[in-house]
Amino acid sequence: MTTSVVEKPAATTGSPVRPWYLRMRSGLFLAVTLLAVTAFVTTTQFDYNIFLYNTFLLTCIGALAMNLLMGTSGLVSAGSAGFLAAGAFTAVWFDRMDLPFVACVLGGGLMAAVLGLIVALPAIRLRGLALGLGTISVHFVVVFVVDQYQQRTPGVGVIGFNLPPLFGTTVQVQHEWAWLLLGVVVLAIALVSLLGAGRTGRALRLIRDQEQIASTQAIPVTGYKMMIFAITSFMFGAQGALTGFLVGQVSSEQFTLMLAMQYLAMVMVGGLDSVWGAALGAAIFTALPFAMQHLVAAVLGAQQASLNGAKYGVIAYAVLVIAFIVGAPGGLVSLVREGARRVQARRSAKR
Amino acid sequence: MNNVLLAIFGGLPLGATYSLIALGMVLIYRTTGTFNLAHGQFMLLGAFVLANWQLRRPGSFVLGLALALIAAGVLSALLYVLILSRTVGQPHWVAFVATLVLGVGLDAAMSLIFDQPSYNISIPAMPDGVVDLFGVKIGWSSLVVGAIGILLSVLFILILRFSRLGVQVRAAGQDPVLASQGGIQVRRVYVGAWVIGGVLAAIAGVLYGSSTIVDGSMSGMALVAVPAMVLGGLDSFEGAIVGGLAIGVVQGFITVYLGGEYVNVVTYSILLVLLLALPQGLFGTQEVLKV
Repeated sequence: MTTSVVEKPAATTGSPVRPWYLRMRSGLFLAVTLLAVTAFVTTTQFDYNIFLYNTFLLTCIGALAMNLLMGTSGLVSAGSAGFLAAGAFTAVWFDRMDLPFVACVLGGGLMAAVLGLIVALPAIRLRGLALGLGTISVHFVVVFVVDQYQQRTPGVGVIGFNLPPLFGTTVQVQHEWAWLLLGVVVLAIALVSLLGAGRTGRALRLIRDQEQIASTQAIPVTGYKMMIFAITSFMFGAQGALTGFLVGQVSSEQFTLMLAMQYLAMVMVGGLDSVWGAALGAAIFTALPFAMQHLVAAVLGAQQASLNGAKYGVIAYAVLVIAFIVGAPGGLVSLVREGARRVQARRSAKR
Repeated sequence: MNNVLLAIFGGLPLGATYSLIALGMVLIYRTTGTFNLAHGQFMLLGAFVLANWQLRRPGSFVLGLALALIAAGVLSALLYVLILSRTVGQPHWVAFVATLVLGVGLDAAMSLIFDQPSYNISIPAMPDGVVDLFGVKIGWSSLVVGAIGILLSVLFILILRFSRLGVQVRAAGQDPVLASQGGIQVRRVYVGAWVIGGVLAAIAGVLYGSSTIVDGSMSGMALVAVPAMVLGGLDSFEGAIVGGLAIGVVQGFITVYLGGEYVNVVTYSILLVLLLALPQGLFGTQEVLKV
């Protein structure tokens, strides 16, 4: 073996390979911000608000997965509620076999990942519209299966399964959940940022933009698509299982096509191919129903709010998504970026 | 034997409804390239408007029907002009997500406006009672609904095939630049296609609503019509009719032999298999990718 000495190019302007912490700086920044917010929320807020914050953290996992799937890889999926259901019901199934919490969550994720691989089989052949339709049909099949499981389990009925509380019944339950979920979200951010940066990220974006060219560049398109579907489905499945444990109750009625659409909407409103976009989208769509509830109560009265508040929430959500699709296709993140650029341009013009 | 006939006659009215829905969706898809998943909401709006009209002023059917068709047509045109025409140039799935979200939003809005739990539509001169066909008892109304649906669909296809309008619609869909060079007002054709699609959906809603009750769940029928559309080929008008009737009859068989709760899951499994094994459908154009 001869050692070949490669001469390093002299200091180029803006070296082409940046160190990892620079490539993942928005992910790092997001993780630190969430850490600070979690510390703030757990110390100043009371239980119900921390619970809301916990659902936001859970939603973040799915939004990050959706961002990787749709924003980075360009694979549109309306099947996320199906993956959530698969994860939640596998957790129930494992829990009924008296397996520990970690096994339930990982099992839920793995079951969803297997399902994701099955969905990815059509994804190899299908693109765009057909993939969207295929994932819708997968959603209905999965929800049907879990619904049958729920109906045929004696003593469960319409209400659904109960999952045992993870941290007992102490006062600090929601605090402990918040820190646990923060850890999971940080892991998810790391995973998504790692996959989105460097070689994999470039390959995924080329597959998204020009699939045919990607295959001519010796990029294993099929392998990447399978991998992305498996990983994102795992994240959704784990989220479903965790949500089941946090709420303590799992029912097939929770997993509607509307839920799947919310994840699509989140990444579109937040901004595609950006971890910040996913987090912002998750925050907006967690807060929206409550904000609308309060707004309706203030404008139309409490009776309307309790009766029809959810419907007004759905309308607000649809209007928001449509407004972003028509007015700002890049989502919030691109709006912020654009604004920052303008401010900078104005500042340099003044000088 | 009786069960087979029951399945077929039970499925045909449903199939005719699917045909009408799928025809509108194919028309919109072929001209503007948008796969409209909010189509069921046009259907629901038509049915709601007519049913509400009949609730307030019993007896006046024609005016209510006209109002229903106009409402659906206008809503459809508005959606295209204000929203979906602006997704051109964005990634293909943007319009897909937009129509899905629009559907959900319209559902919520309509359930706020039409706040009764359920409505009824009565078409005057619709025969009552049951008829004995080869030993199977079938309601007259469902036979009439099926017949009207099939007739309208065939009529619609004949118009598209043999009239000047039909040529314009097909040309504008195939090659907008060339069509506009040939003096076709492409944008007008696009809006027209959405209006017609909305009106067809409203007709389907009125017909189907007259055979059952009208409530919010009706808008889900357009999603079930998607397998029909894929079976016929996404861009084939004849395929929409054949696919619609086929899916309707298959659902009839599922209802008779397996039970109602299996209808959706089997239909969507069929869709999944179709997408994998026969993506261009029975009559659709095969997608050829040139690099």
